[in-house]
Formats: sequence, structure tokens, C-alpha cells
Amino acid sequence: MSIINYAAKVINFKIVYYGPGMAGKTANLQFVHRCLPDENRGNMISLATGDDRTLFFDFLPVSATSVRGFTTKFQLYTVPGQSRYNMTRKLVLRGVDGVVFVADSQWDRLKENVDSLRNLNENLREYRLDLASVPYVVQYNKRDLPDVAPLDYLEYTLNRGARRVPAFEAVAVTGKGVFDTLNTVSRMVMLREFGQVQEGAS
Amino acid sequence: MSRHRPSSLGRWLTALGVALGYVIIATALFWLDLGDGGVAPIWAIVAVPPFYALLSLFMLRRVSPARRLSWTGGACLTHLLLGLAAAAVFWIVVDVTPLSALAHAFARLGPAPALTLVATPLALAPFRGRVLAPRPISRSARAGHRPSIGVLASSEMPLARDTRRLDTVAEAPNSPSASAPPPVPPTPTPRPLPVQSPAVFDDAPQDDDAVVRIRFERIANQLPQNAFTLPPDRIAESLREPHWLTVPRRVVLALLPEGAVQVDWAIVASQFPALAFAMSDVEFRRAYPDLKLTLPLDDVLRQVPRGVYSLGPTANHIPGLEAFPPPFQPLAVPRDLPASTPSGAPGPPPSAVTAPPQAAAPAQRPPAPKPAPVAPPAPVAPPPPPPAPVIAPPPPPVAAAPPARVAAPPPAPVAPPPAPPAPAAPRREPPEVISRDGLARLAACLSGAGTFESWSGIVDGTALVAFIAPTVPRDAVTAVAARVAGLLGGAAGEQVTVRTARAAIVVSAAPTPIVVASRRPGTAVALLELRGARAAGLAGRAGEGAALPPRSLSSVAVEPRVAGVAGTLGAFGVVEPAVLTDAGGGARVYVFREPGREAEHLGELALAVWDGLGRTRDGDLGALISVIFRQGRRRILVRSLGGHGTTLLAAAGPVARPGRAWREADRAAAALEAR
Repeated sequence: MSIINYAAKVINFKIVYYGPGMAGKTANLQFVHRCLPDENRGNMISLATGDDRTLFFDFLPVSATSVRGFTTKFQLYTVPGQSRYNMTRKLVLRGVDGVVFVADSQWDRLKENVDSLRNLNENLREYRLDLASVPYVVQYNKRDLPDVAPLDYLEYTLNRGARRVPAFEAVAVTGKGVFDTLNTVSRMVMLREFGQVQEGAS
Repeated sequence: MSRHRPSSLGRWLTALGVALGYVIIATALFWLDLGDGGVAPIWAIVAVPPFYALLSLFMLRRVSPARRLSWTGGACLTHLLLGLAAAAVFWIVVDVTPLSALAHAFARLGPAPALTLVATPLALAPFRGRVLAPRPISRSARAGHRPSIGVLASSEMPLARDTRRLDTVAEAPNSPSASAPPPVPPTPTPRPLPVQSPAVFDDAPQDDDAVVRIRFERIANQLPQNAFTLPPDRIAESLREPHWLTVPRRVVLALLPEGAVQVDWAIVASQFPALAFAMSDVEFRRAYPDLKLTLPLDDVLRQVPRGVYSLGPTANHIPGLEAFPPPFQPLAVPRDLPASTPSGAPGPPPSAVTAPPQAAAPAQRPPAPKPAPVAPPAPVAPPPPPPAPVIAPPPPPVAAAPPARVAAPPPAPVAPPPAPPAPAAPRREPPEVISRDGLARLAACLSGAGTFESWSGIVDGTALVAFIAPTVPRDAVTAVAARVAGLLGGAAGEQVTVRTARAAIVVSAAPTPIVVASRRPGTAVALLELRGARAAGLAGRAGEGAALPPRSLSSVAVEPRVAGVAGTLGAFGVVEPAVLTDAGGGARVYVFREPGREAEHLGELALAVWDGLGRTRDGDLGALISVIFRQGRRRILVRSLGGHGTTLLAAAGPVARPGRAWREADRAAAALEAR
């Protein structure tokens, strides 16, 4: 749920990068942080374990465009992908405005993708949300690796509901598809917030 | 032990042998006129097909009724053929009319019809395995599911032998990924529709009789090794269809949405020869109640009609989205540094996420100037004329002389840059860093430690007095010494020993740092350290060392594994672990120091020295191995992990046995590298 500060004319959106462990969620945020101008980005906060796995979550505030006189700010979060951190994932999802599901394209990680998507659905239900009501895109990461599944099978397992959502091939460490994903989910969030007719976007 | 599996020709020969035996026995009995009980009643002839149908219930328990019926038909046909063959022989051998011969073969209460009932199942027995085997997908069915894009599926092979012949096709890289269209588009629905959970899908046709074939070698490592008496290759040969496992396609399709096809053992168990098991079936099920085999998905997908899982392109358009321009425009060139700035303190704790975002979100910072790299103080330019370095012949061993001041020590050296990235500047040496007499006195302190060439001069702004073994490249040694000498004097200690693959370099703090270097292995490094310390004591007291370049280091959680490594560093006394990372997240230092000591200083020292010596790696001196600072009994050991300088181990503590400490650090490094 977006938070609007009418006094400061600022509207905050929360976007969560969800997915199995080691799928590249933090890599997405790191690339975004590297590539945004200083005036558009805040400090990225990460807390990793000794194995560079996200322990709690990564946090990156970024500001974007101005819509109807409001400055839109996006808070980008990742979740720890490991199954034992489900409580943290639930907390991070609270108040979410948009979700990016980062899937690992490798053959041997497909089941974890499916499990993670199922876990996302379950956690959203705790907030009386579901993927049908939240702006949501899928990113198929690590497409540069040799042992990746074909895109149509990934779509079959992760994006074949009644509502097909935007999906992107990506290589987060090189930045391929990272901004396409972020821009699309951000626009979907704004579309839901401001409606079909958007005035004064700048 | 392996079960013999006859070939197709063998099966036919066996069947013909049975038929031949039947004909011979029947003819002999007919010739001898034995067992003839007269004309059989009509029911005895009519009961033949039901007899075979009943027999199929016992012989073919695990097959479908359709296959049983098919076998029954085959048996009736075989029965007829055998009877005709016997009648033909009767007619030829015994010289009876054809009608009489047929009657004796089919319609008498005699030996021939009874023998036919026995011979028919025996003749069909060699083909029982083919009846039991799952049927491959039919051509017509494949044609119905064939995708528009030509993907060759191994299931298109109707017979096992054909599939085996085309192994290379079955194992070719999967091509659909290459031709897959990029971004998949959303549906043009203004409000999204519910997404069905993958688990609730079940597209598998339930009446599908086709199979998916998987090479046994691809799943062999999932089998419990101690449950079989045969090695995997023998098991593969003994399978019902050698080297292949077959799984009903309907089972595979039901599992396809899960992202992994894991089939129960019971589905494939019957394909393994009974003799291959090291235990009974009951024991096997008890020992491995949840055994599942994960089929290789790439193989599976090649054998599944693509239309089953290919959803096809959808329109990538959301009405109204075009009204919002892409809000984020990336820089043309990303910053080189890693973006993450790991924080020692967790950012917003999980509970903070629940707070209103205004409170949780950090304020947008104004465009801040990028932090300038830490610039080292400009080196003092020595006088320009560079005379030849003072080279003294190795002095003869001399008994230790009473300490005396070096004649003309230069001013305290300016702190060298900790991480000089540029190649070494042209050496400019003052006319005289130390007098020839002073050099000789210092050399006398090294008696018994080896043969050295003495040298003095200024390298990168640092005056040095060096005693270097002739087999060690002097320029490389003095470059290394100049970089570490500036760290001495302060908390870094009074002496530093740099070990590389081909040299040991001992730098002792003195008004002019004294360098002793020798070849390694083969050098008693401890002796060099002792003699170097003695020479430094003769030269006088060193000034305070330069401050370490500030590094923003933050602590991260210490894993139990790292804490366990601390226990193996007993030569350093009791140490506490800490893990530090730098601001860029690119460097990590595992620090083990005495309780109560600050870990950050050690981390800064480790990074500074490794940065400074980075160029030494793989140079004339070989790869850098370790750097040890000594301050009284306390030693600080720094070494890299994993062969690169971004992950370091720093251990500090009072050390009584330096050799043991070095070995323990080596083992600790190996343990940390093995994570």
C-alpha cells in the first residue's frame, strides 16, 4: 500500500524482489544502485552472511518521476531466499506495492522457483493479497549460463495462470533486463495508483 | 549374476524350437496311435479361446485388459498355426486325408489338441517381455501433438533399438531456449486476474499410454549403491529395456508443472532385474520408503509434445501503461565499484519494515561528491643526480661490535603510499644514505646468516639499507621493502617479514629501515629476523610509523565455522574471531585477535599491506604468501585466502613458537578456503 505524504508531496511505493536463494535479487539491486544517478538513489543497505547470502534483506531507496505534482519514491527490497527465513520474508512483504519475482533459469533450480512462487502466494495471502491484485512481473535471470531451461517451460511453471504477467530475460550481474524489469513494475504500480488516465507526468 | 536377455532373433528361434518340438511329439504320438480318445465334443473346441483368456489373467498380471486381449488373440492364432503344422505333418508322414489330419490336430480327444494348448503359451513365452513393456508413443499420436517448430523428440522412435541407435540425438543440446522469444507479454487486462498456483494444474491426459524414456546412466547416481549387487553398468544392461528406463508419460506430465519430475520408485521398480537387488523387495521398500528418482528435465522435455507446456506468445501490452514513461534512466556507464555498501548494523530491522515508509525511508541525499581516493602524502623528491648505489662487498664474518650510531642517517622516511598502483618510479638515490663504515657495522650483525650484497638508497621516497642475497632480484626486494617499511614503528610493530614463493624479506624498523632478503625455500627465516633485529638495534630507534590509510570497515556476523577456526590457532593464544568487509564490499578480512583488542585496526593493516604488495604477486619474487609483523612477542600474520587479495586472514597474538603459528595459520586459511 503506497504511503502519501501530502505535506511534502511525496508518494512512496514499496517494491519487493522475491525469489529463491541465489537467484540474483541482490544483484538486481546492486546493478540499479550502480547505474542510477546520485540524485536518484539513496544508500543501499545490505546485510549478508559469510557466504554473501542475504541475511535479512537489502534495501535501496530510489526516487523517480513526478506525477501530478507528487514526487514518487520507490523503496526496493529483497528478501532472503533461503527457506528458513520465511518470517523475514513475510515481514518484508507487508505493505508491498509491487513484486518482482526473480527466477533462476538453471535446470536444477526450477523446483526451487516453483516452491518460492508458491511461498510468495502463501505469504501474500497472510496480508489478504494475492498476485492477482498486486502489480507483479517475472524476471528469468542467469540467461547467460549454459544449462538454462527454455523460456517456454519457465513460463509454463511460473507464469501460466489466467493472468499472464510481463516477463523478462535477464543477466543481473551485467544489467541485462534489470531496468526493463524495474521500469515495468514501477509503471504498473503507478498505473494502479493513479489510474488509467495519467495527467501531469513529467 | 546379470539376467540374460535374448535378442529378437533368439526369441523367434526359441518359439520355433517349441513349435518344432510340439510337431515332433504330436506326430510321434499319432504315429504310435497313443492316447486317442475319439471325437471331441464341440465345447472342447469352443473352449480354446476362453482357456487362453483365462491363462492371460495369470501370466500377464500387470498389463492392461487391452493387452491381455491382444495376447489372447495371438495365442489363438498360434494355436491355429501349430495345429495346422501338425496336421500338415500328419498328412505327409502318416498318409491320411487332409480332413482327417485336421481333425486329429484340432477335434480329437487325443494328444495333439492337448499338446497344442501347452505348446502355444510356451511358444509365446519368449515374447512376454514385449507384452509387459510400456508401449512407446504411437506415430499417429505424435503427429497429433507435433509442435509447429521442428523439435526432434527421441520419443519419435517406435522401437527401443531405434532409440538406442539415436542416442546422440536424444542427448543433443536443447534448442528451444535459443529460439525462445524474449519478453513475454502481459495480458491486456486492466485489473489482473488471479494467478493459478502451479500445483493446481494438471494438463496430463489420463488415458495416455505413451512413455518417456530416460537413459539409465543419467539417474544411476540416485540409486542407493548398497541396495544392489551389480555395478551400475551391469544393472543398465539388465534392465527390461537395456540402458533405458521408461516412465508413463501421464506420470511425467502430472509432475511437469512442479519444475522437477520426481517419480516414485514403485513406478520403475519392475524394470530392474530381481537378481540385481541385494535384498528382498520388502526389505528394499522398508529401507528406502521415500525413494524417488529425479528425471533429467532436459531429456523429459524433448519427449513431451511441446504443445503441452508451450503457452505461446501473448500480447505484451497493458492498457494505460504507456501513459507513464519509464521512471528510471540508468547511467550510460555503470559505476565500476560494487554498489552494495554492507552495513555492520542491520539497516531497517525487519520490524521497521512495518513502519510507515516515510519513517523507514532514508531521506534523499543531495548529490554528494564522490569520496576522493585516499591520497598518500607526496613523496619527498630526493636530489636529482642518481649516482650508482653504494655496493659493498659482503663483509667477512665479524663478531658483533658494540652498538654505534650510523654516521649520517637520513631524516625519518616519509610514509610511503600504501597502495601505489603505478609502476615503480625511477629510482633516485642520494649520494650517501649511510656511510661505508656504518654499512660494514650493520653487515657484521648478519654474520652466519648467509652471503649478502649490501646496498643503500631511496626507493619511492623511502631510504633503505639492504642486504640481499645475490640470487634474489634487488629491485623487486627494495620495492617491496619500501612499501612495507612505512607501516613499521607504530602499532604494526618493529619488524615485518614478507614471504613470497621465492624470497623471504625481513624489514626492521630503524632510522633507515634495514632490509635483509634471501632466497626461499632454504633460508632460516627466523635467523634472518634475529639478525635483522640485531642490526636495527645497532642502527638506533626508529621513528613513529605512518598512520594507516583510513578504511571504512564494518563487521558482519561470524559464522560458527569461522568461530571454529579460531580454536585451531592455539599458537596465537586465545583469539576471538571477527569478520570485516570494506565499504565497497569487495574485500573481506577474517580477523583473529586477542580478547579485548580492536579488530578494525588489524583489518586496516591487513588490507593496507596487501594492497601495497599487490604488485608483488607473480613478479620476480613469485606469489605473495604471507606478511608477519612483530612487536616484541606479539605477531600479526596476514595472508590471503583463495589465492587472491580480496579475502584475507589476519591473526594476532603473543607467539612463542613462530613456526607453529605459521603452520596453524596455513591450516586455518585452508579451512576458510574450503567453505
